[in-house]
Amino acid sequence: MKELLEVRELKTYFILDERRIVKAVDNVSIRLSQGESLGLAGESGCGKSTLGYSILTCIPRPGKIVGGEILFEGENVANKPESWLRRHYRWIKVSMVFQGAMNSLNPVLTVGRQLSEPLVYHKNMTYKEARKYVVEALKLVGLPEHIVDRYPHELSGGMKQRAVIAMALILKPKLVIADEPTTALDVVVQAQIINLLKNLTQREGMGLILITHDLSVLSEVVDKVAIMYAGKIVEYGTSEQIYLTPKHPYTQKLLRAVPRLHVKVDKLEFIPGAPPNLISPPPGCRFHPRCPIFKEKSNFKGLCDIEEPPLIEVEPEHKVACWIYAKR
Amino acid sequence: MTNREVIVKAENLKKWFPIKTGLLSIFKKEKLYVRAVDGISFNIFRGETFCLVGESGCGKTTTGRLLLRLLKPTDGRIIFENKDITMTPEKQLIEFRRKTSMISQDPYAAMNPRFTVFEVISEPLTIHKIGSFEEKIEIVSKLLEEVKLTPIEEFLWRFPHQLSGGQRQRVCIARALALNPEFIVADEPVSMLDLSIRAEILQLLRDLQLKRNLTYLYITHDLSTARYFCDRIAVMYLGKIVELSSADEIADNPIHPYTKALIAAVPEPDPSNRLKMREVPIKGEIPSPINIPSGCRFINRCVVYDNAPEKIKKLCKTKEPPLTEVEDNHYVSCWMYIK
Repeated sequence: MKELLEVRELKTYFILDERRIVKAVDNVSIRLSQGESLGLAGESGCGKSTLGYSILTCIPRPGKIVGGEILFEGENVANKPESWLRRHYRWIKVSMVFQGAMNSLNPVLTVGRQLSEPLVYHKNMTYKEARKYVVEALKLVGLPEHIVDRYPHELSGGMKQRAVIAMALILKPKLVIADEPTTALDVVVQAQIINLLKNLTQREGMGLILITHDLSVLSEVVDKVAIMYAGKIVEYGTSEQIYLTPKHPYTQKLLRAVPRLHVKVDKLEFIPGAPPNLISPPPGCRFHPRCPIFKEKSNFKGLCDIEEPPLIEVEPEHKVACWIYAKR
Repeated sequence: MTNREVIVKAENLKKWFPIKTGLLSIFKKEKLYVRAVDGISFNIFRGETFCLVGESGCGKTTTGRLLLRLLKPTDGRIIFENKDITMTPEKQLIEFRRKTSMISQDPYAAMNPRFTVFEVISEPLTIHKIGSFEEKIEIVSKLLEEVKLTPIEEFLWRFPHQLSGGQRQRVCIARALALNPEFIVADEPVSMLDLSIRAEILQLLRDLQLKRNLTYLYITHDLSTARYFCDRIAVMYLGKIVELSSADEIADNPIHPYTKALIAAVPEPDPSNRLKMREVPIKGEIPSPINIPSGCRFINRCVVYDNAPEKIKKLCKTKEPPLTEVEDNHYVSCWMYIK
């Protein structure tokens, strides 16, 4: 399969002032082939959304890419000028379904008019010419044609979310980043949106990066999963590897905290403590203050709390950033 | 179950909100109402966790507010500890107010940002004129210890913005406990929290329940946490309870077509699921609670109705199905299952 996206040792920092730098994404590498889907999961503040924004080269201020590369089809977009990005990259190659976007639709414009805008600005179409393509995009997400002339308040939550997804698809990008696309929706509608995303990746060959904190939703859609913690990827692998044989203590704990409908659990586990402050993260492994294995076993003292673990390949495609798996 | 003490009882409870469509509506004979809660009855037993689940707009939050008498019902009765409190004037509700309390979804919005943690938690004490300043410090410290916000001195004088989401929710729980209540309405208490914190807060609520013999009404849209956390679940649809049974029964043996659809829609952390589409047996979208269909209100979304025998179809169209016990302690309101 052709390589679509490769992020190499990306560092996206938010520089608040000279002393305070939030290292939201710190040395993160991911790869994505054409038509593949990748899930980014982790607790809030782990940098998963910032990674999404970085790939779109659209980082809110005062965030900045301070190191690393984002190769899209072999071209490094991290150091391209704004005008090039605007003309050749953003929304054309990569688009995004922003978190809560369904509530940010312009209430005084029809859905069709809003969806036309990318076509008008990028393809020099008139709004009239754009209509045909808008209808096509709406069909793709399962909305009937008459929605074109509706205003956002006339649509239900699920329909609005579909419209926002159609907006991301309008220029036929190769990669769509979806940031928590189902969070505010009811379960029935959520299932429909999940099916839609599955359809788009499996049948239309669209690349997808799905960002969510909901591990159940994630497992329903993506082929590969990256678990993030405090700005770093701690585990990376195929869905089967992550869900069936998780290796990192954080992933293991996180999965045991998921309540399940069809499995009766007496007691869910939780991870005591809170994620670290990203201005001054703990030295060594960022998870070590909360890590059950570090607490139990003394032979990791002086290692986990001092030296940062590299991503270690434990089986093909399955990488873990944990000293337990290092050969010493 | 039957010989357990009932703490809260709802009898044919209704809450209709009138809609003001404009000045001319005064002259119209027919008034329009949002039928948020439209005739529901249930018992909540002391010491149990009773859950209301449903999609947004089904009336679950309104029900919670009615039971706490934060809203006055349009019709029906609320009985708390064998006393009818449906129409009791506010002044005589003081004791009821002490015995009940609430935990809300957004802990940040539920706190005055200019109050310290001490002020937030001691406010109910101040309102009910309990304790001097020193006594209040003592009570609040004990509460903080109970919700595991330690060291206490570190949290007592902090402001809400200096706390994390999980800590804020703990403060809200401490405040809810300040007057030693017996019945607590928890409205989506963990839906804004991260996964691992969610499990931690639920465990805290459970520990507190055992220790203080609390009764919870847990309101949520998340069936997975409902099954984990609750004893009994009532599924609501458009202001009515369509199914009521133990949490295990609802999850493993749903009967009502709506519950079946809800259960089928819940995602599971299983990677093999991505290889198939999720089939949810339901049609269309939830109708507005202003013009609720006559007969069974689920009729236009029901897939069972399409293949039902003519005799039952006629019932569905004309008569509202009552909540009926179809199996042991399993109540369903669907003509297909009512004998």
